Amino acid sequence: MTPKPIATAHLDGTAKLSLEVGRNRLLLGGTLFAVAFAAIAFRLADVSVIKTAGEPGVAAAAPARAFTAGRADIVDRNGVILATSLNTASLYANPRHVLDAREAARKLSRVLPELRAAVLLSKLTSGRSFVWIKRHLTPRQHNSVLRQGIPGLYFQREERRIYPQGRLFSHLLGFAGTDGIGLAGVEKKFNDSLRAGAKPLVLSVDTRIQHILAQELAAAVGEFRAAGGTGLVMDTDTGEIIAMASLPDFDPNVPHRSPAKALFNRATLGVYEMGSTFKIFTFAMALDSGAVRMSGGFDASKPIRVARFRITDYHGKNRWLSVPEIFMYSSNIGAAKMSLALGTRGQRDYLGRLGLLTPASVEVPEVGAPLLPSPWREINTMTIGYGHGIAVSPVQLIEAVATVVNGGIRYRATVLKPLGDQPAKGRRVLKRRTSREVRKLLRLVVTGGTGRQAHAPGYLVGGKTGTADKSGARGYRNKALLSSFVGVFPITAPRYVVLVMIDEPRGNKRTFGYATGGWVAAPAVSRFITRAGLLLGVAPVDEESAQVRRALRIRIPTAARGRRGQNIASF
Amino acid sequence: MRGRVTLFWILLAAVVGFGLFQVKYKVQNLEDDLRRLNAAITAEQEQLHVLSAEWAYLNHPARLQELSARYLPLRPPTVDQIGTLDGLPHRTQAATGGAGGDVVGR
Repeated sequence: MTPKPIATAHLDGTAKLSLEVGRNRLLLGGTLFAVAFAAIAFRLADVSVIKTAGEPGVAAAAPARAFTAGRADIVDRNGVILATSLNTASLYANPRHVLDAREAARKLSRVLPELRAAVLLSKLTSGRSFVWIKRHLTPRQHNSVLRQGIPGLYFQREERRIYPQGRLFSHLLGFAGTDGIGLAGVEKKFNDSLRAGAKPLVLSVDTRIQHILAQELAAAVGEFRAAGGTGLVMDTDTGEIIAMASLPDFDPNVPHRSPAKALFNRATLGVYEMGSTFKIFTFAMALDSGAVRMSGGFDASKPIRVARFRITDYHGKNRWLSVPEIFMYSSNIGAAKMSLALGTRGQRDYLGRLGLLTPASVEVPEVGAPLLPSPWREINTMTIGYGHGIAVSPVQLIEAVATVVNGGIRYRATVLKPLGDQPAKGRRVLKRRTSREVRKLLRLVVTGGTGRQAHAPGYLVGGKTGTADKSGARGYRNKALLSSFVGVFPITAPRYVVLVMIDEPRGNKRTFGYATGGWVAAPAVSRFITRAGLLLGVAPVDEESAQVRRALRIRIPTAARGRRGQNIASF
Repeated sequence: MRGRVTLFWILLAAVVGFGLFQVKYKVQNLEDDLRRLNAAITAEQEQLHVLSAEWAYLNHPARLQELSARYLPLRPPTVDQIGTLDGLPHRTQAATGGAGGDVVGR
């Protein structure tokens, strides 16, 4: 125990008090700092040791930028490229940087022979600071220009639309302009999604089938020195268009080099009076409504006179004809009378349900609206019975034919391949039985009627010929025909419909001067089916087998009205 | 004692700092590599794109048809060359022929 220092100052009063206050304040401040440091330490440990959220343990690598060359590709149903965009080099010059214009012009015209030296010289001496020399060089041209090493020449990367299949899909694809905007066809219809998307647009067409169709169509147009033609192939059970051709055609890589009329798509934009192929619908409607039975018939011995019109037969038999015979011999008189039996109202209803009164819904901008009679009189009903007085587009026709033969379900024509496996949506417009009966009639035309030249062994082709007089400025011109054939195969269980239409064919020695559908278009359909049948996955069958004969048996009543005939035709 | 502790901390700071810069430069190099590889991939994709366009061009059906006619002894198949499994004779039974069954060589 230490002695109490004597000099210990006894602090009391104000001095003691102020010391106390000072100590308390120091303690408070120290505590605050201690808490703050503790918080920081805790947070530090939290961020760096405990949590992993702030900075990921493994740095995420910047992914490779997906390569895109502007507009998306267009491919066919098997993935074959129909349209693609490539980056190309375009050559331009800054004349102020060109040292020796004469020399440069000479060198350039040597590696790019399509450019004339004189023109180049005037460009290179123009004194401006920018002139295009040539847009979209090929890689080879690009390289050869680089090798010349001419100062003052520069390259600009540009995008260019390429159509590797050339003319094959000209009307369907259309084309895109230099600025990458679709100006026709699918390119125009899907312009926005093609510009935005990296995913290719998948069409329903098949390049191989398209090639065969285009080749046979071109052969027929050439043989008969026709003004043009069109061909279509459609899947009967989905409405997908497998091939679509129109002649004359153009090269979508250089569309401006073709005459304007070559850009016209006859398959979708053109509307034509189809002629006798329309009888398919006349018969389907009359049979479906019950107005006419297969066992019935009409007197076709005399032409019909209505007002100033006279309806006659081309392949006239001049007698009473049974329903199958009217179809087989393509009797206009019979078809007109059959239409009357159905009536104007019924005819209009059925045609509407078959899609023949409204523009086709196919996905190209060039879709022609049908030309309909107005008012729809009885005479119109009669002429429409054999395909005159109404004009529809070929794509409408083939869609309606597919509807008639596939069992009576209408699938809208489409050029897009459906996504996934969902079955196509269709709407029933005809009875199954009607479809079966019309199929037998179609077969009859090929085995013993006007369409015998469409026969393709093994593929059970059925079909109908059509020969229409083209209407000109002054009524119908007799010499200008529109000859067509619409074929269905295999007729026992249809898979595909083929339409070939030749515009203004001229008969030749081989056809004995005839230019009708049976002589002009039917052989083309036969050749097409023979070549394409296997590619389309249709198995050839023995046409003489009992099964086929039974399926196609048809009873043709004999001439005496009302009496059931004995002769059973089974072709 | 206090001096040693200070020295320890200074050394530790130096080592950590050195390590940090090492990692930083390594990452920078890797990022350069990555950028170069990505550019190479894009260039490669562009090449593929051009080649696929050329492939489509060279496979134009008209060209193939001409080449096939010139160089190959093959001709388009005819219906006679197509048979069905049912058409094959059984060991004892005679060939039945006719419709139905799978197509051979489709």
